[in-house]
Amino acid sequence: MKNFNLKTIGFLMPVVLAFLALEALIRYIPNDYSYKKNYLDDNAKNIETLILGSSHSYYGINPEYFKSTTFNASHISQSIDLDYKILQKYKDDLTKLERIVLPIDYFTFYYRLSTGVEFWRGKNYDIYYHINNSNRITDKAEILSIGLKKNIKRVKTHYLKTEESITCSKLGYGYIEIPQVSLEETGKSASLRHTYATSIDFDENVAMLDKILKTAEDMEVEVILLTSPAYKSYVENLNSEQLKTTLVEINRLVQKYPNSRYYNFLTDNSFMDLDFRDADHLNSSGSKKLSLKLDYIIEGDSLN
Amino acid sequence: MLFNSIDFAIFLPIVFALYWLLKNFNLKIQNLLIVAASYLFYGWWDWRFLSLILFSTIVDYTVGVYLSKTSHVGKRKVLLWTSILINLGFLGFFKYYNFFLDNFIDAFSLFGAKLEVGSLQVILPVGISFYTFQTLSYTIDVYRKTLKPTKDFIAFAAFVSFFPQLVAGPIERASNLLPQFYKKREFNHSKAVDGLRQILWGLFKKVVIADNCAEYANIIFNNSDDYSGSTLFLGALFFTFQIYGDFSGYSDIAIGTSRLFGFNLQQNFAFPYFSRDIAEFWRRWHISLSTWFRDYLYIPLGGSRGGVSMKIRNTFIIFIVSGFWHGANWTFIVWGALNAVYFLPLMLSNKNRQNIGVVAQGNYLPSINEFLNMSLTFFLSVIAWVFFRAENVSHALSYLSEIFSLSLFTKMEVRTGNTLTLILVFVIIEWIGRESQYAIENIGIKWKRPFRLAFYYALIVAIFWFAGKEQQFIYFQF
Repeated sequence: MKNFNLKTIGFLMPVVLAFLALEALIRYIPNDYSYKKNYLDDNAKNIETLILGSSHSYYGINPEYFKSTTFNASHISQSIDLDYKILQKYKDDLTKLERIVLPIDYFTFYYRLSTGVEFWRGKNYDIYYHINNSNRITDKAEILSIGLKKNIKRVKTHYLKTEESITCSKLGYGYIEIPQVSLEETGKSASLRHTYATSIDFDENVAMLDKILKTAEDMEVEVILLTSPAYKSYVENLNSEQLKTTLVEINRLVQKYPNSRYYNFLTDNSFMDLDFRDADHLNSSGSKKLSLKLDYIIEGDSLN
Repeated sequence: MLFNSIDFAIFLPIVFALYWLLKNFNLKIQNLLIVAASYLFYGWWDWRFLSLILFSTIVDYTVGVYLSKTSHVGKRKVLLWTSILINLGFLGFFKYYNFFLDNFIDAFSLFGAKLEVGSLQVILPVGISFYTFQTLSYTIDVYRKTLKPTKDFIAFAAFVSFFPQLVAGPIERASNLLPQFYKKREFNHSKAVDGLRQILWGLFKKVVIADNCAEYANIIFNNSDDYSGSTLFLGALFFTFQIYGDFSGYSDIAIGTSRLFGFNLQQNFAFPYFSRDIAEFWRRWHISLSTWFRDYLYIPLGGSRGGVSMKIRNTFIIFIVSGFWHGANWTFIVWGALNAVYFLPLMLSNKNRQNIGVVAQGNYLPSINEFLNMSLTFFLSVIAWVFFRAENVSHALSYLSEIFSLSLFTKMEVRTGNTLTLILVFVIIEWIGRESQYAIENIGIKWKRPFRLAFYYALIVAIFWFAGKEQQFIYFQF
């Protein structure tokens, strides 16, 4: 028995050591999460407008176009529970905060990162934000959440090719540019992906928005809720019931909290084909348009 | 808890250490640990359904005790049917209720009647088909007096819930597994090493072969209207290896894990894709289920005795029931029936037992005749798997009609990367190891230590290289 244990440990030891070394190497690679966490640690006290949300705000709202001191703390696939956790983590440091900009999209109340197909991104909140995203062990280490093949590629890209691994701007906007993909096809596929027959997370997600609004109220901060613009192929394929339920909940909560306002850009005609990188994400020109509109709202100017 | 998860990688050594620490204590305590670990293992997925396992355990234990107390034929029959109805009742409710309801409504609508009956939003408890059959085997054997009923409730609970094979088999017979809980287990170094080796191979099959093939099989099956016959055939081929890697990989891990704890489970797969005819395929594929149906359904129905019509009837019944066991969908029934059609000519011509031994035993390569027979059998199974994987029967038929069209000879539209190479390497290793219980049982045993270790490390690297896709085991849904 003892012999078996020693031999097994001896056999596995090189594997464990190699993986620990790899974990350390990966953690030293800067990424959006570590960058934004460090930015918030250092600059939270200066931020006047905080943007939260998923890829719709990551690619869709550029703080450069805001007159107030703005930071975009959204991440791809970030669900509303994580928006709340980020706000909770920094609320005491956000001493100058005047407003939060938070997209509530078609899927927001139906989706959680921890239970969705992008669950592997959850480790970024545990490892880099030190936020307890889930109790899943795989969320506690890079090497446990992503395959060896991808991790080796990340190490090679950073250490050997010295390529940039942060994909957001200094103010947190997702500036990565890729050519436009088929708006018709992505409209169908994205709407399908965002439509849920049922959702066990619905009630908790609505409650989470309530908590965000309550926290903001306690902080004496305004919350600007918005539904992001999308291309017609996406809008046309949405489930009307899911959309209606979402809008009903938003309006109910906006009425409950006087410190909140809601703007629906989903079918805003001012966003043209060329403003989209795919059917539900804006490109740089689209994000400039949306950011300026939001800035006008914030600054109290009238919309054209 | 998934075998290919970190949770299990932590769970297993802890249970292993505690288990062997307890070996000098009362055997009951060691068995109790197995029950606790098994309930934790199952409850990790959904603790609510533990009550079903516990209830099944209590029912079958009680039925066993009462069967031992009475020799009255009528009473014994009542007891047996109590167990069967309760166990199959749960299975029917959770697995087949909506299927029967939908078909009932469809049948009524043919006569112009419209029924408004709501379907149930129930989750299928993981592994219910497996442990239900396992407990049923106990009651039936006790009823038949081929097995003595147990008076040790803890041992019986451990037999029903034994975590390595609880959720996806092998479906153990009480006569094989239950007595192992009565005896003191001694740690055996070579058996434990062998268990680890089998776990390693099972993980390789699951993570490297099955999960990789799943990626392409899912793309091709989910978008089958967009692809030509050649790509669809490739999709069917990928699914063929996915289901084998997935299910036999699970069985390998289950058997290997059991060996670490001093238990022997039966072999569940014996290199089925090297079969020379469909009869041999079914003696090598999911052996624990095939033999279960043989002993508890086929033989009681009369088996292959009687006239031709009886043989045909029994063959269809066993294959269709076996198909239906896999899921509440007509696709599984058609899959079963198709296998019956494959099997019947062999049985009716008394050739169903002509290929018993290992193919090309002692030789490096098969004869041309063996190779052709293996290829034909493999091709037939690939075609049958299309029904197994398709969304519905019409999907399967349109999928197959495209395969059997001229577009079979066009260029494939899907780039498969290195997956085909991986499959080829896998098939070669399986061929080399086909005379063993599992492929790498004897591979490398006589090599020098550094080479042997390099081989195992290569398998480990491959597993981690492809990890992260973490596809659910297919058989969990059955």
